[in-house]
Amino acid sequence: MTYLSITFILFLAIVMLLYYVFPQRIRWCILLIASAVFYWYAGYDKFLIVIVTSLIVWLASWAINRQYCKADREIAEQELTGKEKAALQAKYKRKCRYLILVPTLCLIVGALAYCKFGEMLADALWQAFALYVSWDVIVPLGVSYYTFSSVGYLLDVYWRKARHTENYFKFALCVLYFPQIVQGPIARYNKLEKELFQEHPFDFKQVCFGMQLMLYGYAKKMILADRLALYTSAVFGDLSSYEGLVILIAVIASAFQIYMDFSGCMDIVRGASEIFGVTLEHNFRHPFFSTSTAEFWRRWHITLGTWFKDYIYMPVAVSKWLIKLITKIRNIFGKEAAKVINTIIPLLIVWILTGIWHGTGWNYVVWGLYYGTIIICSTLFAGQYKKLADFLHIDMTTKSYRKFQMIRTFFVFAGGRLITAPGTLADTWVAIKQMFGRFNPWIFWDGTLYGMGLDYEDWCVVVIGLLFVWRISIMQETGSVREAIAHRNIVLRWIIYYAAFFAILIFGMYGAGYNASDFIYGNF
Amino acid sequence: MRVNFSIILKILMWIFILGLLFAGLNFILQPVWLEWNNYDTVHGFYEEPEDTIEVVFLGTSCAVNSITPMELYEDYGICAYNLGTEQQPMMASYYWLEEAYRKHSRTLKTVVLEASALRSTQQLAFYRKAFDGMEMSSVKYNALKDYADKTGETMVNLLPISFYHDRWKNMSQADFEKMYYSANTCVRGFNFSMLRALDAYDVLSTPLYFANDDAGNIALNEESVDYFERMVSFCDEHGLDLVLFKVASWQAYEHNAVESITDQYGVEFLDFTFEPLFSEVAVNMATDAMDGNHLNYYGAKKITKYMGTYLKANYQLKDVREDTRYSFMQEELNQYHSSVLNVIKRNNIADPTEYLSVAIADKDSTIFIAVKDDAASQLTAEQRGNFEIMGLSKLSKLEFRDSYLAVYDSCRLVCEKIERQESEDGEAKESEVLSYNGKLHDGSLYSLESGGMAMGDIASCLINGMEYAQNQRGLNIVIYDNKTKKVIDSVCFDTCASTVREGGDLTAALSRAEESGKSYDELSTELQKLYLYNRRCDNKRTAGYLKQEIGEDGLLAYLSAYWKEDYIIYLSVKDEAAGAMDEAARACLADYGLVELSALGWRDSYLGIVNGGQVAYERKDHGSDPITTRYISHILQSGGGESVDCRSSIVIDGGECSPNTRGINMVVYDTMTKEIVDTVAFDTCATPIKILNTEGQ
Repeated sequence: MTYLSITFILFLAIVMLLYYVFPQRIRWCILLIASAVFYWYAGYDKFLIVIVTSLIVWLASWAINRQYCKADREIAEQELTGKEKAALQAKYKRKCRYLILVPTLCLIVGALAYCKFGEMLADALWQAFALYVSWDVIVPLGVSYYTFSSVGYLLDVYWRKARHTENYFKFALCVLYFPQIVQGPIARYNKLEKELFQEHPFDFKQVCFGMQLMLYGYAKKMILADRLALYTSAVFGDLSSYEGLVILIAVIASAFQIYMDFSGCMDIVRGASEIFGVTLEHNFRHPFFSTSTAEFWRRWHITLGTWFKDYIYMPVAVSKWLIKLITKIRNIFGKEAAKVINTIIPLLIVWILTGIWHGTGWNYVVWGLYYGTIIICSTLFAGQYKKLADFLHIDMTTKSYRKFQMIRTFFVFAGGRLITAPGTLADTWVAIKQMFGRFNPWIFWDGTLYGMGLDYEDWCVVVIGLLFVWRISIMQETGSVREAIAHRNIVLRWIIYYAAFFAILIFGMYGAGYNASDFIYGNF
Repeated sequence: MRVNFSIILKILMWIFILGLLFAGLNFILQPVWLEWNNYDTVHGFYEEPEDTIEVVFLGTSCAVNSITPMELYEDYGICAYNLGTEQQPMMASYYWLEEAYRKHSRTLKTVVLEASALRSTQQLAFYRKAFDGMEMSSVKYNALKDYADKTGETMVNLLPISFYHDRWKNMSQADFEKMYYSANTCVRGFNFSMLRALDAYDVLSTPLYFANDDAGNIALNEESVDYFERMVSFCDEHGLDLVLFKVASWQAYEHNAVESITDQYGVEFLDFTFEPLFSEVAVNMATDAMDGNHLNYYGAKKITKYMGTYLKANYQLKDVREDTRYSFMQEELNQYHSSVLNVIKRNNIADPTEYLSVAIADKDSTIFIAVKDDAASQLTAEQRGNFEIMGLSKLSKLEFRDSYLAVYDSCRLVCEKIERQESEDGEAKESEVLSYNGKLHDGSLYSLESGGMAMGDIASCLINGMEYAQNQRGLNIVIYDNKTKKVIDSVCFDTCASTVREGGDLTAALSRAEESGKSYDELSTELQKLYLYNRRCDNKRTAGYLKQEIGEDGLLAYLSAYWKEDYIIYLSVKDEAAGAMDEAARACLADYGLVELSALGWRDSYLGIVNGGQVAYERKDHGSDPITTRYISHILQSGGGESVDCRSSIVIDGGECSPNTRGINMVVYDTMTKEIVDTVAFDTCATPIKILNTEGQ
């Protein structure tokens, strides 16, 4: 049941009806049953895997909590304070770490690794040793998302940042919650718990807002992303046949495509959730308005970025081995060198892992290194960069410079797409060679552009659609567009709703003879 | 939960408006198919009073173009409807049968199905085309469900908006005008066309005439056979009679397959593609068809006439002409006469001045006139005078190879332009093409162009970018009906070659010309073309007949068939041709004047040429060298058994035509059509020559 299917719309309508018909105290049960049905629809084997995983995590969390309670009881009974108290807590923490946390993390992260790399490993075994391993890898829906979410929850319980939830079914709902299970956002248990289990009286305005957000998401996905996909797949699918600006445009189109695809899906997801009064975290905050790559990644896939920051970057940055290493370097090479290493190592680890999370090929490792290098350089050379600007008398506070920064950031992102969108590193190399091999501006007026999946009318829709999204994004930066519409008179409001609805119906890429492409971030 | 009625009302209102807009959008996005009368067909069918139709015709465009139900009513009192659609798949035929029965269950008696869909696989678009106009009912639901099962689509995807939503790029004025369109249903599904294959094609293929049992069977389309079976069952179940028919061009192996399936299911089968019905109905594919597969009005009239007689004779159909319940049919017939038969009358007009005077008298028409090449040579003084009376003064003064154009709109001359080919001092001018642009009442833009022989040699009439002029030598005339917003006629009068054209029934015109003793050279270009086509058809039929009826012993039958004017018979012996030649046969050959052949010896080489029933050349030889000769530009060679080059060769126009087998090899050449009529070989070494009876064959 994809978010683009009529089945999903009908399913959502039925769940909404049931949700608001039943009393508030059991509404979460409706969501749990609906989530289970949604997941079961993807396959009972996948459903069983996610249930077992959530059960393991919940049991681990219960066990950790039990140890901590035991420690607290001992502390209270023995009236321990200061160092003695800390020592006892450290003892129990260590016990939790080695007996519960690490094995559980190994199990669920191992399961994730198996899902992501299983087939690759089988291929490698075959190629290296001619050893045929028949692995029919079952990849549960949203395995990356619920694994990351579960890891976060377990670490939070271990670090005592979050409480263990006594009710397994409530925990299961946080894992399975159907609007977010397929493509995120990566849930933080403590935040989601508050949203899910608080009372949600029927709020017509909120339901309407949810639907509007869904419409906007569908428009982004079906009108823009899927339309652009025709062009990018045509070009990247046959790179050797194209050259020069055709490829450059495909790279740019691919950047817009992935944004419209992913952010469109997030709008659908958040809109669907808002219908139940559950506000999910933002995953995008207009990344193309970013003036630097670091800022871009704070606006793009926000929940992934913060997850990596909280559960990878920070633990690495404060880890004992790194502190020891930094101390040694400071003693030998001085303070500046230690600062550089302290910046490089955690960032590189985070970006390599981010790359691997995004895909299994070497191009994703290179992609991670690409961003890691750019962000590290921009951090390390920020001072030099400022000096250069002063030397060239560039006023970095002007609007035009800000726009330049935005464009520069966009092209840095497009560069990243050039590494992953063609498929493999070899394809990327072909794309680069072909792109710089010829300057062919005539493609803009000799009709070449109209023969690769998109015709003239399609390009018009793309350009108008992008301008429209850009305008909406500017409005969203300063306030709520939905609120602004809500304050208009009913005629204008309804005209806007109908226009949005029929724009999707007419200009959307769907229907007989057309297979709507899956969401790009849907197979993670 | 507290119920807020204002919210519920708002939601219901919103959904209601959404539904209206959705239905409107569905309607607009669904394509308009007027060119094959489908729009008329479907709408017309639903406009018919229920329980009135007795006979339905189903099938592809071949059916649409072959049966005119209005004439079945007029001549036989049968209330029929032609529910054929373009490339109608058998699945669609089946469901249209169900739909017809749903609406006319009390009166429907006979179903006549055209067979084309049995042999071919239709594109998915034609399923949609057949189903889109069907009213929503359980029949349509089942039809769409079957279609969805076939294509793997979901039912939701079969909503017009889902299927056609990206048509917005190609939508034309007609798509939006259909909401104002009033369906002209008097044709009852028939596609009225006056186009003639003779005008449209330089080379026309001739019919096959004879089926061939030895040609084998093609594998019929499985899905079609499945739905054909369902049709048979449906008809059995509901007491309906099913008749299968086929028209136009079919291969023998396709015919055999269809024939076997009709035998299998015991379905009546009318075959208009092969003998004997083909000749009985007398369809001439040059004048009675618009192309190799589709009949025009004249062809449809012939098939309809046969069908009417057949249906009346074999099925219990009542004459509804006297039934007051069917008074609406009389109204439709009047409409049919006024809209369809008027076109036929206009088509029969031979004189350009008469044609124009009728056309410009219609206040609802715009008439475009453009000259191509030359239109002045054969114009008479009387015709010029008539043009002057009509206000076409410049046309009345048209000279050799002048460019000329005019536009008449609602009985008013809008524009008349002429460009002389020669300047006043007699010098040839180099001018550009004469042109005129304007706008029709409905806002459609038109562009008219004329160029004499030396000034572009063109006649063009573009309306909304579409070419309507015939662009042939002479006066090209296009008539646009401002009411229906359609071009209703496009003709050309070759007044360079002839004062008048051959209007109407060309076959009759040819007969008249032949009866009046006109030679081939005296015929008009159109009649010459028809004459040659008919001759090629005769040749094909004769060759087919001989091949089917006469065996390897039929040398004398062949000689008899082609022993006539304008045919050359080439005879060439290979190896041995005298072994089985008895005295009686030799005597017959001698009677034909083939003296050398009648005296042919063991392993002799022999060449014979008969031109127009006269022996023009004969030679036999027993030497080691083959004998050769050249006749016109044709080269013949014969090598008997004693020859070092033991073979038969008859080279015509550079191509080897001789079958080159043992015995007498024969090639028949038509000097009129300049085509090879027949090639055949007779093994007179082993098979005796059959002697004809006194009446010949």
